[in-house]
Amino acid sequence: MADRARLALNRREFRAPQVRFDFRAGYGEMARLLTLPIVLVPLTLGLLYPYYAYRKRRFFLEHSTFGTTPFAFDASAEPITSCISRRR
Amino acid sequence: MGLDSRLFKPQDRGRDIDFLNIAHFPNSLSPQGRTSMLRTVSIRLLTTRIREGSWHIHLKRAVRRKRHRSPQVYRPSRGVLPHLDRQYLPVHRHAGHLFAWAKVRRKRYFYGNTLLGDSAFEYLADRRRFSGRIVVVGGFAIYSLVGKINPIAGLAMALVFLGVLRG
Repeated sequence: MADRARLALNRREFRAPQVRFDFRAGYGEMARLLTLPIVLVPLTLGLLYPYYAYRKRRFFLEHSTFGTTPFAFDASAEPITSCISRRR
Repeated sequence: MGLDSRLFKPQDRGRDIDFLNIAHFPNSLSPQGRTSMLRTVSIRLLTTRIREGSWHIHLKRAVRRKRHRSPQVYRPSRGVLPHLDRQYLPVHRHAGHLFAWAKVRRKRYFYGNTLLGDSAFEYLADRRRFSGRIVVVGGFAIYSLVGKINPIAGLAMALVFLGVLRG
C-alpha cells in the first residue's frame, strides 16, 4: 500500500509538480556576469577562470528557488584565489 | 511553507545511509557537516565497501587516526590547494588531477556546499566511471592511425564514428 501511494505521489508530481524550480535575476547583472569574463579572462591569461566559474555558480544558485526555499551556496572563494596567492 | 525532505529522498537509499555511522570516518566530512576539499572519497563508496566486507579496515584506520590526533580538528591551513587550479595549471604532481579527479572533486565541493533548506547536496559519482575522455582520445588516435595507413579505411571509420555519435 505504501508503495502504491508513493507511486501515485510520484506520478502526480511528475505530471503537475506542486513544487517548482524558479530563477529570478535581473538582465543587467546577468549581462555583466556573462560579458565581463570575455574581456577579463584573456587579460589575466586564464588565471581568472576558476574564480569566474565559482562566481557563475554562486550567481545561479543564489537566484534560484525550489518552491519557496532558496538555494544557498556556502563554498568560499578562498581555496580558489589561493591558487594565485599561495603555493604548496 | 517548509520543505518536507522525506518526499524527495530516494526510498531505497535510506538503508545504506543508516548502515553508515559517520563518526567512524572523521575525514569524510568537515565538522560543519559539509564537504571539504580534502575529502576524496564519497560516502556512497564507503557504504559499498562496508557492504562488501572490508569495513573493519576502515574502522581500524579510523581508530588509529583518532588515537594519533584527538580531538579531530579541521585544519584547512595544511595546504588546501584546491582541485580548481589543479585543473588549469599545467604543472602538477598528480597528472590524474587534470581530468576526472579534478572534475569529481570540484563537483563534490560545489554540490556539498549547495544547500536547500539546510541540507546539502551530495555528489555520488565515482571518479573511475569518468572514462568518456579516454574513449574519445583513444577513438581519435585509432582514427588518425587508420587514416595514415589507409585513407579509405579512415573515411569508413569516420562514417562509423558519425553513426555512433548519432546514436
